Amino acid sequence: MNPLHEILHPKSIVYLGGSNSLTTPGTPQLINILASGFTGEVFPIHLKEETVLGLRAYRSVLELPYPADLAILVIPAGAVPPVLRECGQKGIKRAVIVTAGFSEVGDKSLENEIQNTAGEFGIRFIGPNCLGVNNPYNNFNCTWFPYHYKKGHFSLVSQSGSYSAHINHYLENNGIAVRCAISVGNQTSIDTVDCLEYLKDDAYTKVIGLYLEGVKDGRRFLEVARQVSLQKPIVALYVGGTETGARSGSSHTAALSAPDEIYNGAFKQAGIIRAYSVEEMLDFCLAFANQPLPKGNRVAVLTNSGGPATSMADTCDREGLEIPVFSDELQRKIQPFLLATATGKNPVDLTMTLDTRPLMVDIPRFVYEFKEADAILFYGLFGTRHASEKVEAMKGLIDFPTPVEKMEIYIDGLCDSLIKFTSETGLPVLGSSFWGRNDRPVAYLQDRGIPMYISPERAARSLAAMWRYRQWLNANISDS
Amino acid sequence: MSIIDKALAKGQKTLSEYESKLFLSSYGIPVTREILVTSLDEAIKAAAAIGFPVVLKGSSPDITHKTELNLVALNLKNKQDVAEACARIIGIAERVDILVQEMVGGERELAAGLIRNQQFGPCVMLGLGGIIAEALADVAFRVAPLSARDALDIQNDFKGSKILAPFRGKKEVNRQALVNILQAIGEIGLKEERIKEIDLNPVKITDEGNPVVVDALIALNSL
Repeated sequence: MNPLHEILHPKSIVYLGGSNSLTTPGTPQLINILASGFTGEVFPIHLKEETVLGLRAYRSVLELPYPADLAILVIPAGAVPPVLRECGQKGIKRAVIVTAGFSEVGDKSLENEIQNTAGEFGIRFIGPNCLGVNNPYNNFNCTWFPYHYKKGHFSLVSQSGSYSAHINHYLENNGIAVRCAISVGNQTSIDTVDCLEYLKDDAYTKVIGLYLEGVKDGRRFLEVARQVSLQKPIVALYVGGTETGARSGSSHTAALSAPDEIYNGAFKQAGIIRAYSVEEMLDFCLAFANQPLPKGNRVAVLTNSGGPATSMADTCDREGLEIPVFSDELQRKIQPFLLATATGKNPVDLTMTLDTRPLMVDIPRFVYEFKEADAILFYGLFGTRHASEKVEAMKGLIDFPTPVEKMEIYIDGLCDSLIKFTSETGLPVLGSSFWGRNDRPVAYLQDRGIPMYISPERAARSLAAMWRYRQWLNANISDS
Repeated sequence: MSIIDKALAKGQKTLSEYESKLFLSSYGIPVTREILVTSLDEAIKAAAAIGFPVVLKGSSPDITHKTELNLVALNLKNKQDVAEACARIIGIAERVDILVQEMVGGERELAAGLIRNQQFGPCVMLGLGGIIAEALADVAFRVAPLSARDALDIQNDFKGSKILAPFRGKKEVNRQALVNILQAIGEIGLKEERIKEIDLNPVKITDEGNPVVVDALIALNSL
């Protein structure tokens, strides 16, 4: 079995570095494991305490009743080599070494020592200098920060600890559900490429997000990434600047070879979709994790507000997506749903209307039946919140024509119809609303696989990323 | 002994333009027709053999920036032009050979090359060429070896790539010829570790669409 699989799915853990004090560096992570609902056995090691956080403590790894599936080390760097040796002696083969203070601060010899010890006992580990892993499928989160959202299909491999865990709240607020997150740290035993190899065959993973500051072996990275891209997309945020490349060379070519340009080329060869900010990486992953790829670049833009739809169309245009003018026949179908002032050309603008049924139910069907678009972008979903706020403000003076609960049920039905539409037709649907998850339909759709973005351009850019990947796939599957 | 062996034995850090092109030709990369001569008489004979107009360049492994030293004479239309240019170049630099070269027409100029990247190894570059190439920095890279698709994709991967399409009455570049050049550069990068970098600038696109390497510099790794 892949060592990473075992690290993500332990049934028992030995934890080194937790105590009964919140100020001990390892305690918050141990709390997070316990609070995340981990159902396996947890064995804290402590030299003095009888119990740690209510669990029976052991004096050393060697005293455990049986070898745990995984050791987690949050102890001073100097203590790591002997403890890792004890793990080996006990028969523990997998570890997460959170501890910092190795090659990243120039201590290569200490890192070599743990690498050798691991080699001697057949131990494979994540880190050192990492923030651990999060796997909702095993209720196992040994990072610092809780993850409350549902199980998903987005896997994150990060060379930054922060990006693997600090973002958990952001993920939840944007409906981005995680398969797993891995903070690779110094990559001494398990590196970024090992993670890609594992996730390529992981059935739960539909998209891999990569935060990359550099690669150790560029050619192996390329080879593996290309194999992964043939199966599922990789979205990479590459943040250069730590590599000097060949800039010191003597030729003009060398002077032009900024690492960023080299990575651009390498990513294109490997089918990796590049993102230029962490927010963009997560936007793209949200789309890939939930929606089918577009088969072409024609987009229908449906809206009940002009400006945001124009923004979507503008972004599409710059990103290589087309907004075709609908045929007269299709426009005739759409027209009855529109006010006299509105247009059915594409973008289709309902203008201000409280009933979004045409936008979410009728018009997508027509677009599909007439085969005039390969994807749907929509904007302007309004839930009941804006209405109920007004009723609340004018309490006693005004009533809403329909009870709010009834309206919610009606709108949920519209959402269900749109969700069914995308699964039945295979047409990707991405939406945008400036209301976040505090407006019921946004959360409802996000939770059921329709990506909802806070701005119209972000929805359009995410669709464009899907189209870029689709094109790469088309070209490279026929080559291979 | 190969061109590289000889150059390294003489302590050269680069191959001269003439040597560079001989080497590139051996990989099937199209270069200007040219003859290296050491006297005025030979220069005139060579020009007649190549056909006017010609270009004269002062050539020496020590000289990598010929234009800056005013050692290049373009568009020489007859024997008299050649004689004058030859006298001028010999007057500027001592112990210099003369490279007599066909004058390649066409206004479209590309730059191509090879670098070695610490993470990815040999990488091939393509972009806009000419004297403002470095200022524009409009280039793209691919990691060697380049598949045929890589070598086609890179042709659309820089801003100025439109000049490769039919352009102002000139024919579209011969895409396959360019693919061959780019793949050959990658192959050189993988096979010839003693080559550190390659600069091909300009690679001219003739009005008929054929890419031709007009100037070349190969930098060597001294072992």
